[in-house]
Amino acid sequence: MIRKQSRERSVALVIAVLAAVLALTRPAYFSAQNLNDLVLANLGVLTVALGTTLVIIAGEIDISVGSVFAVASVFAGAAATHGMPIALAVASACGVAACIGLLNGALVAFAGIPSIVVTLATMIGLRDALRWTTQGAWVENVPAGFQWLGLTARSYPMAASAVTIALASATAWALRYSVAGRHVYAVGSSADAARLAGIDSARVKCAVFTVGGLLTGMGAVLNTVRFNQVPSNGGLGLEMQVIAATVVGGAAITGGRGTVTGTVLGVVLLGGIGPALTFAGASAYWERALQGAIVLAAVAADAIQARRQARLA
Amino acid sequence: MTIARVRTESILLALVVFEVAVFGVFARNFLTVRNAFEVARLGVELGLLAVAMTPIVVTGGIDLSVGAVLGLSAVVLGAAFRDWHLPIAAAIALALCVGSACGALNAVLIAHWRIPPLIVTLGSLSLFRGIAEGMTHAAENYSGFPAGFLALGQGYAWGVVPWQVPILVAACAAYIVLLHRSIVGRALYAIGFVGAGARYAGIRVERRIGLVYFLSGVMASVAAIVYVAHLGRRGRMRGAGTSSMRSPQSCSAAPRCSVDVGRSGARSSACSRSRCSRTACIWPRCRPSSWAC
Repeated sequence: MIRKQSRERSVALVIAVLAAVLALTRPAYFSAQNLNDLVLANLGVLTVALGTTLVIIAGEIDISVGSVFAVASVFAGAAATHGMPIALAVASACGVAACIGLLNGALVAFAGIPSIVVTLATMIGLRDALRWTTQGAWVENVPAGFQWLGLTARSYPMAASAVTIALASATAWALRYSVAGRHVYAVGSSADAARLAGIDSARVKCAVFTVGGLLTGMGAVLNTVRFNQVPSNGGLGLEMQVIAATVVGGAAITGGRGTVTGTVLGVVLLGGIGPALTFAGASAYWERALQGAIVLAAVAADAIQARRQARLA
Repeated sequence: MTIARVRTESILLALVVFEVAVFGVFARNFLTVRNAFEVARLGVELGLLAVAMTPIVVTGGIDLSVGAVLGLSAVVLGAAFRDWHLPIAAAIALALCVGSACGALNAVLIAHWRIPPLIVTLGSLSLFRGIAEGMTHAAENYSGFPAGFLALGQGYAWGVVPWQVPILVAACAAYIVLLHRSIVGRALYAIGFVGAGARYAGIRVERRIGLVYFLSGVMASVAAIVYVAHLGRRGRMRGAGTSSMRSPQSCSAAPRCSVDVGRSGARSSACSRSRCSRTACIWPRCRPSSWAC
């Protein structure tokens, strides 16, 4: 518990230092336009990362989120283009994503296949299926109400932020205070112990994958409606991005530890660092190296701390 | 255990035979010695990565960063030769050093600091690929390598055997000895079976685990050298496209088998064999570069 909070505090500190340096040297970073772009670009990522946080706390991993993201985006766009009411198209896209999550979850929980193998298969299968069906073409000529979901470019970021904040708060609350949320931690700490304590571990695992799929679908919608066409190759590398953010936020990849606050901070840090590079005059091509270094530094810090605690104990 | 092992491998062998039979019947010019060697040539880089992945999977770990190490080593090789004006031998040595350093970084974090390999290699994947991207701005292509070097990837020994095939064969032989004929190999199986038990049995778990991740980095840079010689020019994109998820996946799905899996597993049945039998498509090109991760 103490370690968990200290991780969040140190990530928050890093963000604060970065923000302070940027505010002093590159004030343009905090212009309304740039912040707006940053928020819009990362809302979808954050929503997906919420689901990944659940899955990781439960001790599993889902690397299919990028492909699910693309499938949900294209489904929403295509359904709207083919005359489905936009609200229904968006909702059914989320439903499709949840169903894929359910499939992943069922294979992991009930068939007992390791989650990395299952989601690797769905990641590759869905990506190829999508490429096959779309032939790489983007969805174009989406109806007028699709972009910004009928809102304006000005009001949409507010609405989307509100939705994302609500989702994050709900997830945080559920993880902390609801019985189901505690079960997720219990299963992640030790699935066997949880089962002996009367928790249906398989059902919990299946549920986190389903909710993860649903959140991925929502993230896809939030991201897709920013434009009036839908790329058929969206979400490439998204799984790495969200897992990295979750881990930087203090979640243990072995399960049983992690918080929504940590994940939010992780997304803010990793999402904000790329544009910051550009503002600092460095080449944006170094963004990925920097993100990798941050992830390694975070886990190394964890390991050092764990070792020090083991020595004290 | 033995039974399961034999069975997995025989199933894979049967699949390969079936595949060859089907394409032998339906595709013209597939079942020829020449094509067999061409297909072998295309599998060398993947084979080297998969062979090195095998002991890692045996210990219960995974190395997601091999594709990124390959890409980074290839980029360094190209930059060293063209931009830093090093002789080709020195550039090759430098590429090997890069691979070793990458492998050593993974090894220290995983074996010494006991961080889960999945997350370590996920982070180092970003780091290595990011460095390659930063060096090349994702757009650089290197060319103009000496003919003697390119022969390694494009020429033939004795007029028929592609030069890189003996490299793969040698690597396989070395790994067979390492895994199945050495004390280290027995230790690796013991670690994969129960890590704590292996420790109590007096096995130096840290060293053994560190060794396999280090070797994986070294082999990825060997693959990078073959790769550069094979394509005769190379920029960041190719290396980045060598999806790291592929070889771990083929191995982890059927950890019993090494070379067979790398070459006859999901990728080659879907990709190299079917397409290469007809066109000159090589495996990294079957997927757009930005594909898997």
